[in-house]
Amino acid sequence: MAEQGIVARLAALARLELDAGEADTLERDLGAILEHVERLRALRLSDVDATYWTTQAAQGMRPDEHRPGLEVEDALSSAAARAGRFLLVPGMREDG
Amino acid sequence: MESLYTAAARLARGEARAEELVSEALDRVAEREEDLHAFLTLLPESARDDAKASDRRRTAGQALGLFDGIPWAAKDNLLTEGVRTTAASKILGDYLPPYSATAVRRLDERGAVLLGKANLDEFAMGSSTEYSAFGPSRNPVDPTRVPGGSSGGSAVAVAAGMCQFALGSETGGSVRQPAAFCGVVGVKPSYGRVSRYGLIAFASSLDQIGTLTRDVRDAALVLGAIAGEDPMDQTASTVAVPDYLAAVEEGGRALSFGVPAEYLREGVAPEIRAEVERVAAALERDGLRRRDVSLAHTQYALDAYYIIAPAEASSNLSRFDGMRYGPRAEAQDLLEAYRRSRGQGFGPEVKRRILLGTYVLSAGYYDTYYLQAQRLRTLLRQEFLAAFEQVDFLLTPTTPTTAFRFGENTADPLAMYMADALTIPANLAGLPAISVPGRSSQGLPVGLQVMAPPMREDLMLAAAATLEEVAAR
Amino acid sequence: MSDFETVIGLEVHIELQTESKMFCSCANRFGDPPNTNICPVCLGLPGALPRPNAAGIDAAIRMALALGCRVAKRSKFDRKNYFYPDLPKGYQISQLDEPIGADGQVEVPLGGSVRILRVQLEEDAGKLQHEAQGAVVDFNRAGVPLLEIVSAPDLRSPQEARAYWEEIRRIALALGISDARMEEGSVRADANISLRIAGSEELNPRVEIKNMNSFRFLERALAYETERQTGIYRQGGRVEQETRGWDDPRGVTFSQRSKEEAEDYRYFPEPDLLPFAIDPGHVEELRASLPELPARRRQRLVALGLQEEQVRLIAESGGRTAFFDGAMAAGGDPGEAAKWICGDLARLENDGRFDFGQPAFPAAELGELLGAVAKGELTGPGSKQVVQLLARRGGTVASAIAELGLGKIDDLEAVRAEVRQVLAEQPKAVADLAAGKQQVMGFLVGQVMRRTRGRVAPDVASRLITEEVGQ
Repeated sequence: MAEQGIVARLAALARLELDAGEADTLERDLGAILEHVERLRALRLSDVDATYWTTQAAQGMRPDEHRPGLEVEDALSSAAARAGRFLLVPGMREDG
Repeated sequence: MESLYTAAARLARGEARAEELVSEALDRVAEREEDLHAFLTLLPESARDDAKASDRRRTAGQALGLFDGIPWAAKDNLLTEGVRTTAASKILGDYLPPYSATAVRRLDERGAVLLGKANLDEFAMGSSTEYSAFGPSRNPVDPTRVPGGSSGGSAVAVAAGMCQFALGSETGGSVRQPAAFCGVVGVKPSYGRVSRYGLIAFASSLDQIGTLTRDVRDAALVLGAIAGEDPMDQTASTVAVPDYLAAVEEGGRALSFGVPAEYLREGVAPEIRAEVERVAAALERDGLRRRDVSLAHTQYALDAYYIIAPAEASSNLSRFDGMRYGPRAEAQDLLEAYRRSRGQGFGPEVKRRILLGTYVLSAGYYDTYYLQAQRLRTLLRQEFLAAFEQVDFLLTPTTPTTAFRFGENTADPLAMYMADALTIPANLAGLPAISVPGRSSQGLPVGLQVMAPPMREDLMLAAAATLEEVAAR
Repeated sequence: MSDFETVIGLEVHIELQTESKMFCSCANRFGDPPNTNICPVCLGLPGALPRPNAAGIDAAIRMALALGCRVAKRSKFDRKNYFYPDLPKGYQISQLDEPIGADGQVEVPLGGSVRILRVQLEEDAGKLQHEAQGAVVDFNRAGVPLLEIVSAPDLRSPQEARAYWEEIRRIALALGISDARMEEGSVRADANISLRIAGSEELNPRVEIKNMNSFRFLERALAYETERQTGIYRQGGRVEQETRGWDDPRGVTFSQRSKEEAEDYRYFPEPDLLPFAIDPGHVEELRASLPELPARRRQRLVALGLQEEQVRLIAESGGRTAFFDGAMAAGGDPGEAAKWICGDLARLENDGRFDFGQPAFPAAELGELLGAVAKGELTGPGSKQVVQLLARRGGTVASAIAELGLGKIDDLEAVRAEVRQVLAEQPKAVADLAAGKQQVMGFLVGQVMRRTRGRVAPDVASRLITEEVGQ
């Protein structure tokens, strides 16, 4: 079960602004989903290795060669704000 | 509408021109798009121009092959250079990608004509397209019902005859499930079979680009065109791509199969169970050997999926922050800009998964959730590999139910998640899987799923070709 | 009241000097106009995927070997999740539990032995500058390969911490894996510091001081922090575990983030990159190709009898070491060669008139020069002229001697004639010397040198002056 206030903490970590209604719904949904996966948590699997990847015969490393990338005009054409060749972002308060 | 294979043959024989094919497709779109909402972006002008260019190539004897001049649709989470790509989210705004996905590029290079960008659930998170920020698509068989998702728009476009084929993407059934709901063929290749470069990531260890086609042979053609290694995606396999068309032509009569009981349990509609049993019996009559197989860990697959997929998604979606692309909300400072841009840009299902994913990765919970889920994945995969020692392929239903009505599952996320219960195991284990239409039930399509060993798309397609033939009797 | 002991551990970050970035093919180059070397991957555009640079991995292995680490047989990348505008993807690709190197040790001059916990490979962030209207970001640096070298808390003073950091930097330079330019920020360090009663093993809350880019800042910040924490304990207080920054103009550390506000990085294995095996055969090849490391080099120079300062000056530069070794190979005396390298040649180098990396004359000529002096073919003052000429124009010692007309005057009577001439011109000095004022001797010898352009050995001149004045 999700503990009280957990949604606020997670939303802060994930940088998501939620209104009160959303937060309540999400807290309820999160609780229901976590309750559902309790069955999985209850399995004893400590001696089983994890499978993080399933690719077979994947590519190796890349040779150290450089190639031209994007022009700044193309790369930052969708940015909300720019200052010359720089991306411009809002300033930080004490601890942005 | 005719299949890709037939259309390509007519083009090759000079019985049709690309311009006509594209025109017909656009007429069909004009006729039905208002009802069905398959597309988020339509490209009539560039499609007509591309078709003319294709016809000129063909006249000059320089046709680029089978795909040259064939109209198709791309799910709108596949990047298309210079063409608006939204992932059905507001957070990207009118994003114009500076590059195309590898799979898209491979079709471009073969002369295929992109008709438009197909609707989906926002960031491919959903099973009905009801979570698209731009409104749902509707099932062409019964527009009061969902087309399935997340690749709903792609399935609708193919099912409604708006294009010859479409690409979708899978994370937990997002190609096969809408294929089943709309009565078309949907392929989820093995993990690593198709490059993910240029696919907007949902859950990186599960995502694969898949195909939506009218029949199994077309699926073989499209998969053959997009599969294979790519220097831009390290997880793309270097295993050679076999001749899938040859596999389809050979068929699966020499193969053996199993119908795991775990895929026919409660929650699966009786008429769907009956259809699987009917087809299984027909296959046996055609000489395919059937053996009993058991996949006991299937019951935990959904749980593992709803830990792993949100966890990876919470990280993959961090880049959508209103800084380098997408709208940036008015804010006093950086933190507020992040929170508001993301709060306003993401829809409810995406937020739900980001929070869930953040939770299962956060300090103190990683081992009990994320690690546990990845361990389950090991057992699931081992179990599948053991089953494939016994049989060549597995036959199951694609979905527990036929297409549901709008709003039926939106209030309860868990009910919506159940729609993917039978497709998710293949994603977790990295297996190839295909959904082939069975006999409709009360007028609604039923999907039959074939799963095969990793990287054995050839075997899967051979089996599916036979299944398609048998099921149609 | 008991004495406190300072406990310091360092995380040193070193940008690697590769052709391309760590996970994409953009150029890894400092000083280009903002946002020149960028692509979908290092900008974190939707759909882009990383692919690791083999050269970055090799550089990390070489550093691990140089630090005596165990090189992993299997390694992997992990994602470290946090939001910051210079971090395009919202996560940094780093290494959590399977770093490339672990469990090493490095000998630090004056600092003893320091254990290395891990050597890991990650990607650098872009560069963010605060401005009036907000902050501006340049992504040229985003994705540049970065090594993180984590020490055990084995350092006991700000001076030791500095010496350790300097040694790590020297090793990176010796390996050629980084240009290690402090002023360009290619070497940075975070320090953890706590105090405890001397000799105890207690664990007190530690303070992390982040992102220092100069040795002096590190030393000053740690000295300040030692004082601050000592003050708190002496007053019976408790040090808060927190992250502090260093304000150099004010000379103080300041609180940046408390333990409660600490980020939760939600590490997990990077799904876009496969774990990779490191072939032991390849590791052995890299081990065999390691250059002489600074510690070994210093030992060797000490064994040759060089003075501490000479050892330091020569060993810290690959160019000087190679030049020294070249002179040795040509038969030069170690002490004499060191004097030249740390004296005249170092001064020329400081003035920008000589480069040990690309010397104007081969090191073997320094050996020749030392031989000529030892054999008495060239005087001390003459040899200085030769070196000046060689540094300016190159060439050989023999040709320089000939050109300058510096062949030593061996004929004693010829020298005596020169001496007599000088004495005749300096009656006052001669009188002073005769009166026992030995300090004018130097002046008179100098006059002889000037007349002969250094072709007379000073001791010979001195002996003849004494003889002539005494007569």
